[in-house]
Amino acid sequence: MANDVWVYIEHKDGGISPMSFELLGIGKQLADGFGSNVCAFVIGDKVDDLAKEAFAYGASKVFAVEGDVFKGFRGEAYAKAASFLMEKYKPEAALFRGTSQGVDVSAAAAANLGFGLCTDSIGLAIDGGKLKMTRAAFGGNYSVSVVNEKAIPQIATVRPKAFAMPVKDASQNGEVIKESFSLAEADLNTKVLEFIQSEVAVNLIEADIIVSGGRGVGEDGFKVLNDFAKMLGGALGASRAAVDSGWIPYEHQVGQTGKTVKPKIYIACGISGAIQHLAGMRTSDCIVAINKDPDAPIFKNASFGIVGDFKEVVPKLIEKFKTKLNK
Amino acid sequence: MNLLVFTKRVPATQEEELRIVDDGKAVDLSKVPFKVNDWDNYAVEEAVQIAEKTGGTVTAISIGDKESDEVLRRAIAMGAKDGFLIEKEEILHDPGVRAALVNNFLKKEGIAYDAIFTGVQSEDDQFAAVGGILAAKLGIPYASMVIGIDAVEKDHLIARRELEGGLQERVKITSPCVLAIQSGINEPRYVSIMGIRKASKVERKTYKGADYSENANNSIEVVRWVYPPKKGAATMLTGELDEVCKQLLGVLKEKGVYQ
Repeated sequence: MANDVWVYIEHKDGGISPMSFELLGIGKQLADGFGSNVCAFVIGDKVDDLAKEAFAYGASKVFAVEGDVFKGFRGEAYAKAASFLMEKYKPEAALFRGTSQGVDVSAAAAANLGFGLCTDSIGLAIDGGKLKMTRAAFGGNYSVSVVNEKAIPQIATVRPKAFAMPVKDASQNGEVIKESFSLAEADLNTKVLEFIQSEVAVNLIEADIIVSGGRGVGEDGFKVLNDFAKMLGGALGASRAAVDSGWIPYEHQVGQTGKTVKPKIYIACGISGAIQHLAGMRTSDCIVAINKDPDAPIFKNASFGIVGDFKEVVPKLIEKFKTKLNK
Repeated sequence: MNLLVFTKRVPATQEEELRIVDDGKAVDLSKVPFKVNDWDNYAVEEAVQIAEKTGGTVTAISIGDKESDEVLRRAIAMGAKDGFLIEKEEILHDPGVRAALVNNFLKKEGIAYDAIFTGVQSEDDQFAAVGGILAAKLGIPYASMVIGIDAVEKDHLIARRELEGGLQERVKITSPCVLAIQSGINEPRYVSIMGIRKASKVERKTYKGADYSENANNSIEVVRWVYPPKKGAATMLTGELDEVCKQLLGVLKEKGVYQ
């Protein structure tokens, strides 16, 4: 319906992950501001369970497009289905997570429909009846507010974890509105040949705890940091300097040319805090910096600082943590 | 394979303190040095390597003011055959406008290509969206976050894309297509001052942006620049190693890392 706020529910092969519903929280807030409803939309093959789950996270209505052709994510196919739904229902705003999937679908849908797109929002508000987005620019060292002024729907992608997860209420349910939209395989120009799982399965984007190392760490140091990260149930990150030195694969890189992360706790070890790196982690909820150099810029951006050698501090932490856990 | 590659001249803001001016309406870039967008550097290198392997040519395209000629010369020094500048005095933030401009340009000038390469994102605006919007406007397939090109055939490419969680995807994509190239895909070659000087002898064509502005209207508007919230000074944990670690564990506990 007119002026509803729509949230794209991303998924991998229909699997249910709470993060898929992340944006229903901020979506609901915006919808309240517009005096409308937050609705979810799902595209995929056999996504009924996933679609129903969206009610529990606060969706008033849930729309789904299903079909064989949507088995496995393909930006081209999903964007066509998303465009079809948005053209039909004309929501006021549509939100996508700023993941590879969300950006692919939203950019193509915006182009198909002739709408504007604002990516990587970290703040969302309604200003004069329009969606106002705050986003980072110049590597996160400046923020800019952008108003998506002319086009409806106003399409935005949102940085993962920028907003609180909605509270799940399993008692909420409803009927999924199934829309039929078909595409011929022959009309699609991309085929996924295979998936390759990197030996290091790192999911920095979704991690709540990240232990990260920089130029001061060295190859052996990363083994220690890895143990620490595992012990805390977190992920291992690295600065570009560490990746360029060949101590750790690129998948771990945090920063402007790597991943942008927003964990609850980011523990930076031997990282000086170059702007490039800060760009990728400065919005973490709590930053702990361990560095030998008391003048390292990282301390200006940290919540807690320890001047010292991580080679002494981290093993001690591991030791103490172990005794705590065993108690 | 004939390739078009986009290259953007961006402010080098890593080392510079920028000033927000004009009551938050703009950022003062007058004293900032400029450079080639890091991602585009990888995209140019990838295009040149493919042209070297398969035959064919690379044309560099830039949208910007006259100064953007600098990044075209740079691309030519790396191995591009020629360069086109779509001249626009004003800064275009909206990725939709940039894509529309290029779409109009390619169609109006009847420029032929097998593939278009862009960098995944630009360092200044960071929208990471021009490639995706452009592909949809041109009605050709798109692959984002390309971290490897495994095969280049007459009518298709095979590319590896980076997804989340250490997952990669290998895709077959029919040409013509648009690929957004991720940094780290190759090692961009060194460009010498001599090389750039030599490149300035190669003709670059300039086109007036205004001639391609049909339907290239802003749909988003930058309304206000702000400095990101400053973190207060860090609380320093001091004392003997044992004491420091105890305090830090206290912090971790408070943040819910353990019970």
